[in-house]
Amino acid sequence: MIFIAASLSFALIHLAPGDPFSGSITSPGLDPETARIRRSQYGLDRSLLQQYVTFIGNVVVGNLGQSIRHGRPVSEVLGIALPRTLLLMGTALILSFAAGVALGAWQAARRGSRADRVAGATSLVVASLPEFWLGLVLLLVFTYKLPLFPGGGIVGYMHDSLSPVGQLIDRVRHLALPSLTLAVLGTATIARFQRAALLDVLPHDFVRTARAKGVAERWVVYRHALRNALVPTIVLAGLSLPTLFGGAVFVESVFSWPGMGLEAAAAFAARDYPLVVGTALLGAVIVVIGGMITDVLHAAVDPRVRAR
Amino acid sequence: MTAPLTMRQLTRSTVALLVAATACDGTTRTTSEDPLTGGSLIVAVSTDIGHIVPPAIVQVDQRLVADQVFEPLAWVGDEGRLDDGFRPALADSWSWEADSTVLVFHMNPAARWHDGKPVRASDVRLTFSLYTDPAVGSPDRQPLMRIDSVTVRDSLTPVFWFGSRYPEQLFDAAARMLIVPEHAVANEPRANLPASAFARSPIGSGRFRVAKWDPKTAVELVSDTTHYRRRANLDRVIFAHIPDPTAMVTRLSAGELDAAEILNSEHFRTLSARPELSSRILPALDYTFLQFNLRDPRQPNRPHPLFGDVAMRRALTMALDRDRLVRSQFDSLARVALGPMTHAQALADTTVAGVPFDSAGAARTLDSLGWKIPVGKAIRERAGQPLRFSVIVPTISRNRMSMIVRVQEALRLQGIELVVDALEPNVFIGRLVKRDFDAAFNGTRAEVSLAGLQSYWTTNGAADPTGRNFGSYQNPVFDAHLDSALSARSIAQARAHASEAFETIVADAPAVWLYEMRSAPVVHKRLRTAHMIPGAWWAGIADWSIPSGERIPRDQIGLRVAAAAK
Repeated sequence: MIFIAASLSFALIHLAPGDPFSGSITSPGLDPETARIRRSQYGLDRSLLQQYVTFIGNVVVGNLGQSIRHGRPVSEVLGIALPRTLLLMGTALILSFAAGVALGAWQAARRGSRADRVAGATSLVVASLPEFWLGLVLLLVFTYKLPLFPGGGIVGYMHDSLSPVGQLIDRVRHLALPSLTLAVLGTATIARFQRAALLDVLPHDFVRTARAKGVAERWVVYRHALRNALVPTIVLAGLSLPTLFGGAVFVESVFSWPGMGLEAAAAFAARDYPLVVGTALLGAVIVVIGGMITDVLHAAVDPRVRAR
Repeated sequence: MTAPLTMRQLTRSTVALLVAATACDGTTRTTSEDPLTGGSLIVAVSTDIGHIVPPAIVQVDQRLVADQVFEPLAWVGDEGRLDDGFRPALADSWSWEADSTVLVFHMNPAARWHDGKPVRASDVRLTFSLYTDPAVGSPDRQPLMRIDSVTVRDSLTPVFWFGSRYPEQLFDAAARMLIVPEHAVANEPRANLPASAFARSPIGSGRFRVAKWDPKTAVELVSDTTHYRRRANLDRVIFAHIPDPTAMVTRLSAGELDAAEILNSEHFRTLSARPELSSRILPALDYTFLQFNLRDPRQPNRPHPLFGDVAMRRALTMALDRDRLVRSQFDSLARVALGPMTHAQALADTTVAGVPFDSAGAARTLDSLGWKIPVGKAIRERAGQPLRFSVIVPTISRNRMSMIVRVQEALRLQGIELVVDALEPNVFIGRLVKRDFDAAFNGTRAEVSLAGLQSYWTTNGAADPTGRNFGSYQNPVFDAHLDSALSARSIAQARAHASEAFETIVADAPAVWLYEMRSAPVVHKRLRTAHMIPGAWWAGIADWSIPSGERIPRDQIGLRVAAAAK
């Protein structure tokens, strides 16, 4: 799968119009002599097949090439951006999973009530919101109207002047709004899935047995039924990694979060071929790892999978 | 009676207390007793700075930072003249020799690089060789090719040799190049300077030096307290990368940022209304135009069926009330473009009469060309063919995307159908370069000098497949006047020839000159600004200051002693 992703992204970015040295809209075109030197430097004067063979050969030995925009190895550029995005995505995923499961279970326990209907309609609306819009609204509310959180960056501009505790608080405060933006959207989706999953489980025999044994309704729902209803939600959480990855592009832009999303968008606009392909490759790896983590978690919560 | 705290003030106070409570580390700080010095400035920039290696700079934001860290031999003066009024920088004085084709600079012997080594004439020689090396790819390479060579008379005397006299000689030699240290750059690979060790730890001679560099986040500069002229007033300047313009406005309003250049009229109105911010409007170098392709894109050896005729091009210009269009979209943030020049250029002739708005005249011209509105129809026709053409527009430019809709509507009222072809930037550039368009909503950042016009509007620029005269406009009269302006013996003569050139091209209407943007820096009022010159509002940041009584907590951190790192 990773090989296919690498080959596809290589082909598509090279087939897209323009090249890294075609200039910007206010200054189209480099000096022709400079452009020739640059194309030769990055091997773009060779045939596409030759470039592809070289690229695949390098990827096999772990060399993703040199970023044209940064003039540094792609692995170095991604090595800086990836942990930042993983921190953002990881925080958002944990928050959205915790809140989504809780909300979904709460709704399922009140199936058909007014509270359930209001929560369902709200989560549907929230799940439909564009990431950048929600990000801007949160920025307006929590940075400008109620200045509780900083509006962007990973740390404050005066971070180095803070004490170690202050630096930790500074980091958490900067993480709050971008992760909240992604988490709110994720929560809405997970809650809808969790509610449906729990409603599927509640009529089962083991739930009826638990009730017949006199177990309190809260324990029936949250201890017996919920564990069984978690399986589809865990699968969803694992599969939502690509979605989170995509959403991070917009959220990172709004909150000036210098992660993979910002890097990928800039690389694509500048036709930084090696970086675009490197980003796609890394995205594919994350998706594969997400799938593996899902399988492990699935086995952890479902004894039938372990038995197989 | 004390006014009750609002929720916002209360929250601010709580957060400030929280931050203050944790704001204590063991870093060495220096404090100044000079009431003028101290304080922090946080400037928002929309692009990732990437690097500030002067010869390899291609973005305005890079120049904004580099101008603080590096110095030329002399700065352009507040009046923006290209022949006089320069402020000494690395050079204290200069003199002409021979028949004004030899320019000798006398450098300040006290000038030092940030690593303590003295600045020498050989640094100037190396800088020139970098700027003119195609492997480096400086945008200033072509204009600098007018300098034959740079030699070293002695360690403090670089000498510039010119092939001929021209009015912008002093500007090219003194102010166009930011000087870099030979000892740090000479051995770096020229084709990859932005990735060099020097790019990661730049050593300049400016009044600020690089203290910290977080890629894609911020660049922190601190005042060089040992500078040979005088330390910068501010302790530090931070250039923060804020890619989203709406987020930038919100953060500027919230007080997280101190300064930014605004490109959107609605944002400018919002920020101008804030009592703690002050705004300025300065001439800038960007101009935007609806460029006609004068050759048929399908058969380039033939004139374009519509735009090969100057009467048609003038009629289209007359059909547009450019003043109203520009005011309705930009308010005061832009003005109607004069031609292929802007008010920020020293040699621009602001008195050249453009083609006036005259809808009746446009209708008469179109009628006389055979394009008439058939009964019961809205679009003009000739021999059964509707008067219709397409225009390519880059989607990345919000201003152009918005303006083209207004232009489309204005032309429709004249019976002209404009088909908008919105393109991704790389596709747009590809179509321009291939000359594959009827009309293009194009724009450019003008050169400070007139030399930049050669590639965009002369016959040579049209004939050269790598030239930028994408519309293939050719008029030998314009070429001759421009050549004369560029080789004139004095600025006065150059201005006279430039005026003739501008009159010629404006009358030929190879484009509808739509608007030139103005530079609109917005700055927090606690900052006292200086030397905001057209095209470079940031020129005097080293002389900006914050009165001690108006400083906020982040101004009082002091001059933290930090190692440069990237």
